[in-house]
Amino acid sequence: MTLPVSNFGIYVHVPFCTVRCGYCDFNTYTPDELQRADAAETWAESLVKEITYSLEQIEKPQILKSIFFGGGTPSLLSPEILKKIFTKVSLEFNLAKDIEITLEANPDTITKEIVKTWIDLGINRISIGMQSSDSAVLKTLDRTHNPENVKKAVNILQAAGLSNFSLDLIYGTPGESLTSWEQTVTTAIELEPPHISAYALTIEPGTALYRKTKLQQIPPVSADDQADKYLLLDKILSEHNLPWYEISNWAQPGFECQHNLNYWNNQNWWGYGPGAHSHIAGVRWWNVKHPFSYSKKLTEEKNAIEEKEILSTAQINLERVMLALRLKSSDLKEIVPNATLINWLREGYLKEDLNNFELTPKGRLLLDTLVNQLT
Amino acid sequence: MNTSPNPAGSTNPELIRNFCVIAHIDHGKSTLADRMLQLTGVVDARSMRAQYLDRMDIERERGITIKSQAVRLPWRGIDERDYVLNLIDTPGHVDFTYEVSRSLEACEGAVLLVDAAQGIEAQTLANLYLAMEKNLVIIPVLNKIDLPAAQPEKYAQELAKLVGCDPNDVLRVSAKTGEGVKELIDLIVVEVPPPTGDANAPARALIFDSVYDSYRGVVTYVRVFDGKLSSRQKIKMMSSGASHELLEIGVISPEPKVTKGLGVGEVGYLITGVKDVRQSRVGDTVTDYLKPASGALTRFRDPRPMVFAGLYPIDGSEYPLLRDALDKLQLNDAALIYEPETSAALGFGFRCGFLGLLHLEIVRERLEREFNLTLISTAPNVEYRLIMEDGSEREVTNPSEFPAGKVGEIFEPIVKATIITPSEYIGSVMELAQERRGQMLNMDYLSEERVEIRYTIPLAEIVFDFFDQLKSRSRGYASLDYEPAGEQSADLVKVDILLQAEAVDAFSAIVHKDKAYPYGVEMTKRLKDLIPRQQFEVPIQAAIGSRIIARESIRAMRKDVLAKCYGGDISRKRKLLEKQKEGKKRMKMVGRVEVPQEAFVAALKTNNDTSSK
Repeated sequence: MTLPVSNFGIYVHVPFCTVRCGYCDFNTYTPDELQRADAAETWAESLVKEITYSLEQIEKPQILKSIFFGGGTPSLLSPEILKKIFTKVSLEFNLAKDIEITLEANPDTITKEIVKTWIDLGINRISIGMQSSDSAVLKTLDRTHNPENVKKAVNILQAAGLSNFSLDLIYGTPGESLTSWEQTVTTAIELEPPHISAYALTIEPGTALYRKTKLQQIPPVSADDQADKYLLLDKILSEHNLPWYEISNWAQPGFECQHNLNYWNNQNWWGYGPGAHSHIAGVRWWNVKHPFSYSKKLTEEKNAIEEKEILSTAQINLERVMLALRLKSSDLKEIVPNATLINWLREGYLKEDLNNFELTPKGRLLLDTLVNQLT
Repeated sequence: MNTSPNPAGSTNPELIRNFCVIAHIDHGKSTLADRMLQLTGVVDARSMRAQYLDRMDIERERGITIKSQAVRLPWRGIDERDYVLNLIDTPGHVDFTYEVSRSLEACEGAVLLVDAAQGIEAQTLANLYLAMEKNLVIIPVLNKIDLPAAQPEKYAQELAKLVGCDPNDVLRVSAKTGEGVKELIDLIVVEVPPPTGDANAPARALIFDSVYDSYRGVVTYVRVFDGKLSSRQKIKMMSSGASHELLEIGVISPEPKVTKGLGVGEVGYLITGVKDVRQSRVGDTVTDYLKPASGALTRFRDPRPMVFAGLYPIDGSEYPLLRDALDKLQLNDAALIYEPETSAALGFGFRCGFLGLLHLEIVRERLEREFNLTLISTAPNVEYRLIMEDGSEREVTNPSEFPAGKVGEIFEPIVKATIITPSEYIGSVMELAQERRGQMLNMDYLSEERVEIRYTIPLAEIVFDFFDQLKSRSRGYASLDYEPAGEQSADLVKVDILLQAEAVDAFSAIVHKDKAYPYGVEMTKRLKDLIPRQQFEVPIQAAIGSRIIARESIRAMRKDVLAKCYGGDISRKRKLLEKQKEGKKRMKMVGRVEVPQEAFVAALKTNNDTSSK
C-alpha cells in the first residue's frame, strides 16, 4: 500500500523527561521509570526503523514542509542522537527550502553549545516551555526551572541568531491570581517573542494534580477564572502585534507555526515515536505508547501501530468543523449556515470584519458549544 | 417421583399442609425454599440453582420476591405417612401487603423466619400480625445460625415474646447449610393443621396470585376450599361474574404438572386462556359456573394505587413504545394503572399509579430494561382529595393540576406506620417522625434493646425519602412498615419551580404550608447544582402562586473549549465531543434550558451529595 501525500510534515515524539510534572499526562517517562541507560539510543534506533517502514507505506512526498520535535523534553537529546535522526531524515526526504524545524525546549536545558548544534542541524524554531513567571505557580505545576532562566534562554537564542521562538504558557493553575497571570504575560511580552502558545490547565485523571484536587489539597480549576485569563491574554497580545491565529496560539504575522497549522488544516503527517499520532489520506493511527514496547514491536513487526481509525462520514465532518473553527484563517461562510452566522453575530460569538467573519474571544471560549451546534 | 402416593386432584385433605414463610428481605426465605426443594426431592442437586422459585431477573438481583408462587412438595412424616406440603411463597415488601394477605389466607400455618443476626424487622412484624389475625399457626424459626454474628439466644427471646411461646421452642436453622431444615419440615407436618372443607359443596377456590405468561396467557394460582375444580369445567369469577373454561389445571412441583383436578385443601394453577391478569385478580373467588357457591371466600377489593408519578420518554418519539410497554406490563401487574398526560416541560407521557415506591422503581426498571426505553420519572406524589369552595369535589394525582384558588379543604392520605428500631436510636427516629408530621400512637419494647413505635403519618411524607432518612438516622438498623389508614385534612400548598421565569409543571410539588419555604430554598439550591451551566444565565425560582419564596441563579457558562490537541491527537478531541453529544441525549430541553434526567427526581432526596458536581 502506498498512500499519496501532499503538504507533508513529520512529528517526532521524544518520550523522555528528567522529572514528571504534576499536570502532565503526556506520553513521557523519567529515567527512574525506565531504569535503562541506553533508553534514548534504543529509541533513536527504533525511530530510524520506523522512518524506513513509513517510506514503504507512503508515496515519497515531494517536499517535507515541517519537522516538529515534541515531547517529553526534546531538548534533552544529545547531539549524537539528534544527528543520527537528522541524517536519516535528510537521506530519506526532500526538505523544502523554507522547511520549519521546531524543537520543544525546557529553558533550563538551553545552552550556547547545544543551540549551536541545533542551528547546525537546521533547527530553526524553538518552542520554550515557560509556563509562568510566578515561581509559586511553577511549583504547583512541578516545573523545576527557574523563571529567570527563560530570559537567559531567549538571550542565548537571540545571540545565536535563532530568533524564531515561541513562549509556551499555561493559565488557570490553581492558586494563580489574575495579577500573577498578567505578570506572566507582561514578562513574556518583554522578551519580544514572535509567537506565543497559551493553554488552559486541564487536570487529567492519573496525574499528581488530579489526586491533589480529589484529596482537596488544592482547589479545582475554574472555568470562569480561565475565561477571565484568556480574555486578558488575548487583549494584551493583540495590543502587542501578536494577533490570534488559532484559539490557543498568537503570532506576529508570518511567524505562525506551520507544523501545527498542518494539523488544524487536516493535512498529512507521520508521527514517529512511542504513542505518536499520524494522519495520512483520511486514515488516523497511533503507535504503542511505551518506548520499550515501541522498540519491541518495530523489531518484531516492522511497525509500531497500536490502532488505526477509519473515520465515518459523520466523524470526518465533526473533525473538519472542530478543526476549522479553531483557525482564524478558516472561511466560516463555508462551514456555518447563514442562519447560525446571524445567530452567532447576535450572541456576540462572531464579529464581521470586511465581509469576513471572525470568532470573538467569547465565541472562541465556547468553541465546543459552537461545534455542537454545527454537527 | 413418578409414583406419587398422593396423586394431585384426589389428595386426602388430612395429609395436606399449606404453609407460607414470613420473612424480611435477605433473611433467607428463598434459600430456605431452595433447601426444601432439595430435601423433598423435587429438585435434584444437578438442576438446582439459587433462588429457584424467583422468576424475574429483578427478583434474583435484588433478592426480593415480587410475585408469590406455590410449590407442592411430597414428604414422609415421622409417623411414616406420606404428606403433601404446599409452600406458598409470599411477597416480602411493604408495597404488596394486599397480596401477602391473600397468600396468608390460602394457608393454615406460617413459618416466621428471622435472621439470627438481625432480629425481626418491621415488615415481618406487620405480616406476622396479619397472619395471627387470620389465626394461622405460627412456627418461629431463627435462620443463619451458622453466621458468626448470630445471636440466637437474644432473638429467640424476642420471637417467643411476639408469638407467645417458650424461647426453647424457637427452631434454629441454617437454610444455607441445611442444618435444622429437615426438623422444620417435620414440625410443619405436626403443627400446621390440615385444611378442612366440604368436598360436596359447590367449588370455591381463592386466587392468591395471577401471572401473565407470554405462551400460556394468564396462569392463576388458587387454593381450593370447597368442592373440586376439574379440567374442562366452566368456572366463574365471583367478583365480576365472568366465566371461563378451564383449559388446564395442575400443580407446581416445582415445574408445572397437569392434573385432572384439584380437591379440597389443594393448591395449584389454572389456565383459562385469558390474556390479562385483571380478568383473574388476586383475592377473587373461583366457583363453578353452573353450580355457583352462594358467597365468596373473602371480600375482594382492587389493589389501590397509593403513589403516583409521571413517566415520560426522554425521546418524545418513544411515546408509542412506552404505551405498548405499559400495556404489556399491565398484563402481569393488576396494580399498575396509567393514563396519558401531557406536560408542558416533558411532552407526552403517562401518569402512573403504584402500590408504593418499590413498585414504582420496579416498574420503571422493567420498562427501561425489558423494553429498552430511556425514561424520566417525575417525583412521586400521593393522591389528594379537594373540596372546592362551591362544594364540588375533585381528586388530584398530579401536583401541576392542583388548583390555585377556590379550594375549601384538602385531604391527604395517611398511613399507620410501624417502626422497629434499636432503642439507642429512639430519639432520632422520633425526631424524624415529628419533622414529617407523624402522630405517635404507642411504643412497645420488643426486648430491652429493640422498640416498636407506631405512628400515623401522611403518606406524602413517607414518599418523600422517609425510608432513606430512617435508615441513615439509625445507621441502617431501623425498619419500617406502613398500611393505609384513611385520610386527614391538611394545610397544603402547591410550590412551583420556575426556570427563566417559566413554571416547569414537572417540578411542582404539594407541600405542607409550614414547609413550603424551606422546601423552596432546598429545591432551588439543588436544581442549581443539578442543571449544568448554559450559554445564558438561568434564574431558578420557587413560588406559591405568584409569590416568589426562593431564588437562585445558574450563571452563564463562559468557557467549554478544551484547547489542547496533544501532538496531533485529533481523535481524542473528537471523542470528547462525541461523548458530549451522547450526554446531551440524556438531557431534556425545557424551554431553552437543558435539564438532566436526575433533576426531575431531585425532590426525592433531602440530603443528597451534590459536591461531586
